[in-house]
Amino acid sequence: MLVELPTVVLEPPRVASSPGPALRARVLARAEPYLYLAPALAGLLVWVYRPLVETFDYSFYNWNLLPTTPKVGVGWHNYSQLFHLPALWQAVGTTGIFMAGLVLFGVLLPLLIGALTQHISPKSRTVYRALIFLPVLVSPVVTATVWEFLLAPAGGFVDTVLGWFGLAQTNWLQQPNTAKYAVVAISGWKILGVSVLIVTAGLAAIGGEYYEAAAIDGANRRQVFRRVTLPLLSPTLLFMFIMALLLSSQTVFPILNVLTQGGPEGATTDIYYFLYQYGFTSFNIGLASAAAVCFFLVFGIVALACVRLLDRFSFYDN
Amino acid sequence: MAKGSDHRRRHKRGTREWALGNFWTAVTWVAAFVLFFPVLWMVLTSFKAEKAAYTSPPRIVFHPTLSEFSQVFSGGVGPPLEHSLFVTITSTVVVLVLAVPAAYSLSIRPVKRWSDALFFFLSTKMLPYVAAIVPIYIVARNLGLLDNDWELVILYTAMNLPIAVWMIRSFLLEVPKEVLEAARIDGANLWTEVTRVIMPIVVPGIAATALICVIFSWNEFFFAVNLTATKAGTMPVFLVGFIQSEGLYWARLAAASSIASLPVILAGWLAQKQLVRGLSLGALK
Repeated sequence: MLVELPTVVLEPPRVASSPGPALRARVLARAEPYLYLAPALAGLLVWVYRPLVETFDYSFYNWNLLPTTPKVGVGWHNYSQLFHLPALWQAVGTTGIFMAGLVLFGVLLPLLIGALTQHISPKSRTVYRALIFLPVLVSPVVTATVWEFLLAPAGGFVDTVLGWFGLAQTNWLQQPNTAKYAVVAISGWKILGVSVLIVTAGLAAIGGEYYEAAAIDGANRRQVFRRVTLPLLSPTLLFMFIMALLLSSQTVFPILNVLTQGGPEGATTDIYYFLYQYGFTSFNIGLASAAAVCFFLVFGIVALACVRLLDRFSFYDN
Repeated sequence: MAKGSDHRRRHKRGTREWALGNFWTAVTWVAAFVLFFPVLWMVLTSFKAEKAAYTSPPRIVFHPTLSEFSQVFSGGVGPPLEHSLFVTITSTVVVLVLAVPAAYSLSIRPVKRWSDALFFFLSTKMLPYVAAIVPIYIVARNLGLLDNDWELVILYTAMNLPIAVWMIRSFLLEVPKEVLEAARIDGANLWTEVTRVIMPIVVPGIAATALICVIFSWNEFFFAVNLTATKAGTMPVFLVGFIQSEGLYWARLAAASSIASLPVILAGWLAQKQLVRGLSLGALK
């Protein structure tokens, strides 16, 4: 993916190497593409990478965000304090649950749905896609709103349906255990559609000649899926896996912010929400920044490893 | 005799496969409906009167009314709608202005080490925003941009730029080399090359890219909730406030949510096919 070669490469027009205006024109022609690139690169450096560096800096201070209060340098104290917080380790565990849940909804279920819908007619596939794509499109806050009244304890739709089957009714978002899984299910509902579309696109990209060859060899459906489809789909699946991991906290955040505020009893506080609360609720900027640095480092390493893996895998088809 | 039983067996297997196929088709349709249902329920509820929204068990047949929509409109949805529109449109325009030249210098006239540059763009999409929010907040405060539309314009531009660069680059790569060379030989300068040769080919792709930026900006919540309040709050921020102040009024909440969702649903259906390309960050074409 990242190393694919450009199909169009045009050299800048050759100019005779005489000094003076010709040289200037040549330098300009060389520099031209860099000038086109510069504003976009600069924007991202200033608004994405510089704040990250500053976060690193803040992590060595004790500060409450007020311009009038001086920052007090405390060295590595924030880090040692952070690692001794029980709440941090609870948040790490919750992050793990959320990630696992989103891998289920962002990779495994879409693979299943993608494989099952592979053979339905193109016309109904259009309708099908439009239906499952809706949750992806609506704002995460709308998602939270909708589920708030679907999950409401009295008169909510979910409890009513469970009631038909004689199942116990639960106050989903008020109990530590159910709240966790409710958050996973809601976020999963939000991302499922796009993952199905990605799988479908990946399946469609597999050339028919592979299936023909498999058919000639007399392979049955399950063999074809295991031996042909799955290996050829692996770069796509790996990509979806990476995205489910890296974006899980970001996906979950609006749901937490609107529906649970990290509760009950901190059960739905993941690391993202944890450091957000330290920064913007307790205004403990040093501690929040230290947590952010750790979070960023772990994520950075995971992301880099995944990208390496993906680069190696994406040549599978060639 | 042997032949006959063989035939019958094959026929039997065909029926079983046919039944199994139908069964799975039915399962997938049920799954699709379950996925779609919450949105449908939201829209249905928004047309209910408040009393009808609250009944237990929930009612599917009811007397539709627009009263809750008018309640929302008189309840101050105007300013947040305007902020959302302004921030979304402005940031999308800025993204395109920055992304098209950048994508050009990563595809048609690539800089040396263009793949590193591309990786740099994409890397910013993988970073957790929360790790940068405190410094961003402080910078915004120092610049006097807290609770200001322009702060969100800047951040949404940074947020969407990598996707836009990636997508537009992939569209530019589809411009046939021969056509570009022919234009060069005919003495076309850069302006003619871009407006007469490249643009007509990539405009649909750029339109899809724009729609994706619109969807992301319109729905963005994290920056909006942390950096804006009353003076520049966008629709998601308004909705959260609405949940807190009128969360018990389901029909009204549903109406406000429906209003907030309509633009992105339209944009999404228009750009559905290309959306996959953007959302998968170019892992696929």
